[in-house]
Amino acid sequence: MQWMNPGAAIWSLVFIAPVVLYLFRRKRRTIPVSTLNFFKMLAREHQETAWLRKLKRLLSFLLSVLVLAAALGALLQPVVSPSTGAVRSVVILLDRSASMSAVSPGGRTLFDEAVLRVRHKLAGLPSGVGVMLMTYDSRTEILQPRTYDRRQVERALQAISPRPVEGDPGAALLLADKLASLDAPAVIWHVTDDPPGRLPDFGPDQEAPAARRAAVEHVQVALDSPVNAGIVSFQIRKLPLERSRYEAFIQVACSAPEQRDVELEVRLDGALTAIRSLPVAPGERQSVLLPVSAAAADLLELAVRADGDVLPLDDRIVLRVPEVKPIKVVLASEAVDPFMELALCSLGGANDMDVYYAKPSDWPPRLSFDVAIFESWLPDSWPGDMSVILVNPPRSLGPVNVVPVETGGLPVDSIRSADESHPLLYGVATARAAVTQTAVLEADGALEPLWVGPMGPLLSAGEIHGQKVTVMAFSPKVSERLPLTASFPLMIGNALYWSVQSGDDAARRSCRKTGSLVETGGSSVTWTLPGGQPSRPAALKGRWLELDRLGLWRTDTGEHGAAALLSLRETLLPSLPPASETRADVSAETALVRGDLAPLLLLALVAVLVLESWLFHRHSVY
Amino acid sequence: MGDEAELFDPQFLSRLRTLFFKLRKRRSLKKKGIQPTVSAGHTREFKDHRHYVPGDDFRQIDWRLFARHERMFIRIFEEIQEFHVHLLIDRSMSMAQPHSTKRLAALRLAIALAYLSLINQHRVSVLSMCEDTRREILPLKGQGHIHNLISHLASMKFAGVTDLENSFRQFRPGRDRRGIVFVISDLFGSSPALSESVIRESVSWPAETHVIHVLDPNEMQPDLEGEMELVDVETGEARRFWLTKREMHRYKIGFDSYVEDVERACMLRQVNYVKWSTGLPFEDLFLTLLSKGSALAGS
Repeated sequence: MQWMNPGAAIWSLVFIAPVVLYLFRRKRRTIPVSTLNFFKMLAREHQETAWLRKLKRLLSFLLSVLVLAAALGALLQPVVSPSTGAVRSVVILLDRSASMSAVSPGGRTLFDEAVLRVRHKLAGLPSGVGVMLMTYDSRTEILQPRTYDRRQVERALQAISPRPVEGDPGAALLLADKLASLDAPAVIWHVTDDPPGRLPDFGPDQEAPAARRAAVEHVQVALDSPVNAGIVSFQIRKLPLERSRYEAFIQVACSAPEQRDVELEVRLDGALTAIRSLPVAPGERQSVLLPVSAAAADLLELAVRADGDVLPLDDRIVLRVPEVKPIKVVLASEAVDPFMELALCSLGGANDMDVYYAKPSDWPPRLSFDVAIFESWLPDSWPGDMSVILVNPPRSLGPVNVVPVETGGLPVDSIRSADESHPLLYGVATARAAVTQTAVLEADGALEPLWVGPMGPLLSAGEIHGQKVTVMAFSPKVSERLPLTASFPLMIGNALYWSVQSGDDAARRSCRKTGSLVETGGSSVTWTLPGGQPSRPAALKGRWLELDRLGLWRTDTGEHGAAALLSLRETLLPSLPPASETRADVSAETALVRGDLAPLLLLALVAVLVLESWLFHRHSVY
Repeated sequence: MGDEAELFDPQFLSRLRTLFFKLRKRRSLKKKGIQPTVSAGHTREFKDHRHYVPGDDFRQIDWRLFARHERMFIRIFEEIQEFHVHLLIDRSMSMAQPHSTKRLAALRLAIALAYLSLINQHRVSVLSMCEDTRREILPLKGQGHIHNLISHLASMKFAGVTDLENSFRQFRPGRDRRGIVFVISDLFGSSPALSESVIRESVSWPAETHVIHVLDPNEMQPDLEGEMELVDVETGEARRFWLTKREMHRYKIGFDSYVEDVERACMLRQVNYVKWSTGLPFEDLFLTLLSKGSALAGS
């Protein structure tokens, strides 16, 4: 127990008054009467015995002292905190990620439960302990700096609501620890649905002295056995060489005690086009590739359903089918290889690709391209603003180090594939390929060898400083079998599509994960929630738009996109441990005497006064 | 203890000379006095004639009128009575303390009644009651004894605890001392119910009984409030109370009920009851007593 206002102890001098009054009490009036018979009939009175009289006097004195003690105690503001100990500050770290929107059978969300728990713990906190309120999802926000005013904390608590964004407790805990250490000793109340074992390995600042590290008290609010199915991954891409054909990659996960059948619906402009039933084991992901026949800007909706689903935020994805721009490819060569030209012509038939040919004298080009193919020729400087495919590089350039083979090439009949699953080798029959190696490629570096011959890598690909680079250390022109098979145009096509599959293509921009930041040039944004009407335009501050809602968004400048939760972490809802420390905490928090005792003492004061009045005035006890 | 001057009011006593006592019903008194009654007696004072009816004493027939009118008349003579007036005065402490007006009123009332008796040639017995009954003075007759009586009453000590039961039981006026009994008391005994029950004892007395209930206004409606210790002046018993207006209201109701019960008990036993409040003028009360009480009559 602590005294919040010890200076009020000076008021203990008032105890002198009842003591003096008790010791030097005034003798009562003695009035003679003719007879006591009629007074005796008035009220039930106590026996006029000496010990009872003394007891009454003592009782009167004790009641007076008790009244004063209660008043003095209320002035001293005693507080009892069973859980915080001798801390100076408390940092409340409240999880507001999407999973906190899970609804319990009673209709209350986990976030509501978390706020209740915070309020309950705050009630047991001494008023002299500073409180800071932080909340987090993908980013951490300080809602209330350290304050002693509980009303401010309460107002801040009322202003919070969960967001459909994935949580990042690690960063939040780290920041909370940093802030808590500023006012050590401190404790962090981490209120979340994540069990302590699922949280990232939060290592408080190891450089900080142990005494300055904040203790973390995890308060878990979770459902006993939650059932939730949701889409955790999604991507749509236009099928190469196909008109109006898209392919949607969907990954569904489920948290449930046992395997569940999850129903996946696909709607295009409101019309049901496909429905799948996916058996999903608890904690596992089920992937599915769905062909979608749609035109650009069609409204595509995907929804999953499972019995007893408690979290609707991850059940739906709504997006506009992206409009895919043709890939702009420039082929720079002194003399274009006919096999290469043939392969590029075959790829550009579906309006997916615009191929430009450039002579060495035209380099650098005035237009911007997505991919540059250098065949048996290299420019003087490395082009850093586009993906690069090097075919039979005559020398080293930039990050690529090669040594030309002097003898005109080394035929390689048996090519060993280092990574069959690489996108570049999709559909390529490696075993049937035979090439003539014209350069020796350095194996080390950021490039990953995909084909390996006797003299080292034949085909390597990788990403160097965000730039995708593919190196083919052979010449199609002098190779024996490869250019004549379908594998070559496939490999070229794979290389081109892989090169442009960066994080900024239109297909990936079509549906982003909530919490992402999108650079826009608009000044306002309009959101359309799934199944709802467009909301009123909201002003944008700065150039960045944070995707903190689900659905479609569009800026006043025409930029648009969609946002979905797409988080395995949020979809897999943790369950409450059967016998957890949390419940022990609850029992500790529900202790009878805790928190600020001043109201309790005032209540006791009033009760004693009422008792005294009742005894003295109703029963003539004095 | 007392002052004779405050007890003796010559002007008031002189006004009593025109008054006399009258018994409610005829009683066979052995001693004859000077008090004429409505009954025919055997004195020499002729009063009237009336027709003879069988059963009358034929010795009273006036033969002269028979000779003149040939009808029989009998002579009626006035009967002059002498009877005892017993004054039973409560001399307990409650009559003197804390309200001394009760003592004064009781003594003045006793003197007035005694004076009225003496001037009518009745014998007056003065007794006091407390734990028991005690004769204060030998029976007096003749108005010359009034000063002796006053001085005796003025020196009477008021002390002790009232034992109404014992006092009433001990008071036994002899048959030769029949007359009127005046009980002057506050009737405060060990319990309120006792006051009512002792009235029953008066039935056996060979006299007409008059109970004069002397009370002080503060007893009927005390002005007490707050914390106090009340001490019974007779027993010394002390009780502590916290009295409020509500308690006082209940006290008044209880006291009025007590007075009413005593009065009802007196009426049941043909005992005249008079509540004598010391807060009212003495003379007015006394005249009211004479006019109201059926045993008393004016001139």
